[in-house]
Amino acid sequence: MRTRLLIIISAVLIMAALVLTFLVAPPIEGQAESYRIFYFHVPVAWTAFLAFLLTFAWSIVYLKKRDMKWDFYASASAEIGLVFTTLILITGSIWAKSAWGIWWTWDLRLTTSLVLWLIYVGYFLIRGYVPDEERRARFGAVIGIIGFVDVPIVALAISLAPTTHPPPVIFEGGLTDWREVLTLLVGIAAFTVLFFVLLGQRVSLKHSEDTLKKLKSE
Amino acid sequence: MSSLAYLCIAFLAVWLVLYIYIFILHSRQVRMQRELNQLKKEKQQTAK
Repeated sequence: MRTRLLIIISAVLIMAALVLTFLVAPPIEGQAESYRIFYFHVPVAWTAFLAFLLTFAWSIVYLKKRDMKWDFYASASAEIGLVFTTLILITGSIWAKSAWGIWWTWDLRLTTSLVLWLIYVGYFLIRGYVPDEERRARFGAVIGIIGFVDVPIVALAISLAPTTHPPPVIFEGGLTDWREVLTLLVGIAAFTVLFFVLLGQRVSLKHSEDTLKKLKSE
Repeated sequence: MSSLAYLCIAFLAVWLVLYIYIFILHSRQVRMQRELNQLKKEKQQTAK
């Protein structure tokens, strides 16, 4: 019931974000239409950071309590975070090509984002290579905690070094029109709810896997 | 390519990747459920 409600809320918010992005958000003078990528590039980045923050928190809880449930939540959140980081890189590259004429440049924001993606690819590679469940969970928790260090670096990269990436707009008065603020907030809400829907699906999949394992071993 | 085309490609890319991920999760869930039902049925038959 709760999952169904979340799915409905997510669908409504996604539709609203779609309408706001393409029809309501005002054009910006001197900016090409592709600037609207911003309205899903930023929410996707926010969702990836949220996913890694939860992975970080649940990894700490796992190391304290040694309960496999927390390891599972941490890895499920990291998996969704990895999907969203892939989306950051894809939408960022397309926006870069449109705005700068190049798909990629090795500046601090882009490079640290790629490093973030690689850290969580490594997280799953290492988990895949460790057969023992306890050790796998321990290694995963350590990477989940250390890997999170890159998240604030990505977030602050545009303030730390000269970059071609657009400056921060959210907390520095970059969004002046209420329609821009509304579009961004609805986009963030839509992807956040979608994240929890996906997490719920992942958890239910894990429960089915566990029941199947139990039945097979009986 | 026009700026609008880049916007549409980026938008489609987001939903394509998410659709693939959701599809993978869903098909794993369906396969798992099918296996579970089959196993339960087998267990019931052996119990009889």
